[in-house]
Amino acid sequence: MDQSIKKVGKRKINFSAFANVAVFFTFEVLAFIAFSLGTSYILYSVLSLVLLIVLLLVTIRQLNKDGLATYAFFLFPIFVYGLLNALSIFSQDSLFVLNGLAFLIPIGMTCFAACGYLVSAIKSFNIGKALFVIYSALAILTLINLFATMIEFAPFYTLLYRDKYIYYNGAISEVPISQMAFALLGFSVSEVSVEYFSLFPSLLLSAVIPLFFLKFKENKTIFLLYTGYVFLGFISLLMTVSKITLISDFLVFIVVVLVLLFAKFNWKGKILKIILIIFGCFFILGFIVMFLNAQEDAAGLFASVQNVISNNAILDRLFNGNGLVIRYNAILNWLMKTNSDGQFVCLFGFVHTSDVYPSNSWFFDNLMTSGIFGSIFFLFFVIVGIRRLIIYFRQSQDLLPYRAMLVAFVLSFFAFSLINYDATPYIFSKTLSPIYLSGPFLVVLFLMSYAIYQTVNNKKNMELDLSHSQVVKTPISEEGDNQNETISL
Amino acid sequence: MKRFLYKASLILMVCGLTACGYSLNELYDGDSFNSINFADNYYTRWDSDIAYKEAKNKITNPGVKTINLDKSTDYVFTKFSDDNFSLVEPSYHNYIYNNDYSETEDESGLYPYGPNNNLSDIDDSFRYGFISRLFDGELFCDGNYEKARVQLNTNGFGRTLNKELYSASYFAISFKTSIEFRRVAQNNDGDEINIDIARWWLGNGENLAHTCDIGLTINFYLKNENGYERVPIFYEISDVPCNYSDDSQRTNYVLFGFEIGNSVETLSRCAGISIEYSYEDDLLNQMNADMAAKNLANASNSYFDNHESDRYLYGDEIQHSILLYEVMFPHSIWH
Repeated sequence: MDQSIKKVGKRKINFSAFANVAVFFTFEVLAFIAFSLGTSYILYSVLSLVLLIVLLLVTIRQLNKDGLATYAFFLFPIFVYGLLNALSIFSQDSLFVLNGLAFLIPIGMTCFAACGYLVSAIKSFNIGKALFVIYSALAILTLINLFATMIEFAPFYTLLYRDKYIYYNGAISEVPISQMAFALLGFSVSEVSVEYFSLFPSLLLSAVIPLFFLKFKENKTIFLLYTGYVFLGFISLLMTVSKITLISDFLVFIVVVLVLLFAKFNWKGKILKIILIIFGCFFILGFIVMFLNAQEDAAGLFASVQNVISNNAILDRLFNGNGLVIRYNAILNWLMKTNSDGQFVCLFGFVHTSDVYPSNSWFFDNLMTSGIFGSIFFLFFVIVGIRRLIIYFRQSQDLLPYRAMLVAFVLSFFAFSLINYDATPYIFSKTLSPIYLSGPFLVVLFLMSYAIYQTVNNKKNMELDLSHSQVVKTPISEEGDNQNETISL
Repeated sequence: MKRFLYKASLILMVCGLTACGYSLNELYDGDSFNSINFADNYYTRWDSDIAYKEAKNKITNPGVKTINLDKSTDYVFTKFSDDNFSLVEPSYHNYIYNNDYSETEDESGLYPYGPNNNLSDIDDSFRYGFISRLFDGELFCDGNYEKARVQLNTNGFGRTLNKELYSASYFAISFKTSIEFRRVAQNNDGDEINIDIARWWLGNGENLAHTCDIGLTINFYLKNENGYERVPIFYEISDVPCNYSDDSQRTNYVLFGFEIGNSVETLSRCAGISIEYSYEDDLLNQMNADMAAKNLANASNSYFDNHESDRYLYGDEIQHSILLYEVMFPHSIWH
């Protein structure tokens, strides 16, 4: 009798029984972030920390430790990137939105990445439902943004009123209304630039993928909702179309079409791989030339390259004479500036000035916000992450349309943000908001981590599936008695 | 039924997307109201509902008599240092007048008057449109020239407001007066030249500082069921500084205002305002009368050998203007 009482007293809480609650909480956090609260990174960080604790408690017993080394290989660069951001000259500026709380940057990012990994270990977590939550939240956000923008302006105002300005709070707007839109930021609808606005509908475009796989008669509601999301995204982009959004949306379109083709026709992609390698080489070569060309008052090799470029009309247009490259050059030039002691302080990030505006590209803005070393780690994280995404796409047991959606969402985000990530969402603000503060980026981080778990635990999952089919036949006497208990929604 | 709901929601959506355009009411070119020439900067917009001089408007009391404000009974003030102002402003001793750069208190613990009583801070609806310049808390030019002011000719402007006044204890405006001091015009050769009018008139590098008399007519439009009830007030201010350079004490600015509740019984439900003025300016009259003679005299004046662009004044008569910086209903509530 005494022994039985002692046994009851020693009994520990089995947190794995709360898996459904953890999954529900994860969905809520994902929706909350996809619903984008603008610069509420402090809130995001706290949420990610709480979610991580919950997921750790729930999954600690069933977590497969085999893939942790691979995962650490992915997590390490993003943590170092966050750390370098927290220490960078940029985040020490008093105008920085996290002034005094920059230590939250690596915490928030690492926690989100860990959450994506841990939640994958829960059987009841369904990536299809997670994606549906994310897209639904994005669609609601886009709808609110579109309505607010149309109430303020009118359809096609970006084309109709290209050079017209409005007055606000005593001053003429810094940009014409064709560059202004409205978006839900921090629970209020605020003036943002068209670039910031267009990220959300552009991401919605990738919701077209499941429409090529789902059968309308069997999934009427889901099919109609995804159709609505794509339509909404398209209409939003149409209403606010501009030259720069056309370029970035073209990139997104290519990404979505490629993913769709790979998924639909089961392409192996050998030719694409060769094309990508060639493009990659061109990109690296182009970047080196751009870097050499951007250095002002240079001599030797730098000056020779600059002369060659300026004497050739096409190269001059490509490397000097367009709106995008002018901003990129300014950042690359500033990066190599020295202070009065001859030290290259800007290598560790710098604050934008009237000479150096944000470039609206995560690739170049990273040089400003996290410095050269932070940028290298971020690039490393992107390359490792994308490689893992491709493995996930080919090998995961998730349903094909959801795999394709996940990959398309992540790639669309990076493609769009490569040339059109709006660093200053507020029209009337001069401060730069880096990519790591963006809600969609955190969602991307979560999805990439999820995909990595799926790739490193693929075999284990298959084994678990087999054991699961046996376990469900075993009668369960009491809650928590059965250690092999799995939960499904 | 379902089809009907789908169609209805689709129509609603289309209507929602096309029926608005709130900010498109006021669109401007990038360089609007930013000209050296007075004539290009006048803000002359009169909203049709309150255009009381036009045949068509929504004024419900067309024959209303103008209220001539009385300095003592209406506590009219024309300067910050005016005793009447210290009587109508309950926090008078907590304010500093000559600083409008920020809202925060200065080293002596005083708060800048303008930035702490501006309408755009009282209600967000005052942040929109060109006349938001009048509600931003900037009482003075501060070197921003055309970008800071709303420039009026004698016909003034009249605008309806998005909100209605619920309560306010007094009304105030901040302005200064000026005659044209520069003009961009074409000379006889068709070249565009920038003329310094003071130099043209005086034949030296001094300014045109003088005084003039101003007759202010301000109409308040109180909303009612059928339109607007017009409440016109008039006040004459003598010896207003004109074309003086700015000094740290802002002595050439006028802070005009009066207490509500005396001659003007109430401005409750005020949802529109218009400001016009008349002036008496002896120097300006003389300059306009002698324009041709001055041009003739300057032709042989050797001073202009080094200032050739200022030798002749081209174009129409020299103009007079009120440079209006702020319109205030301090401590007011708007619905």
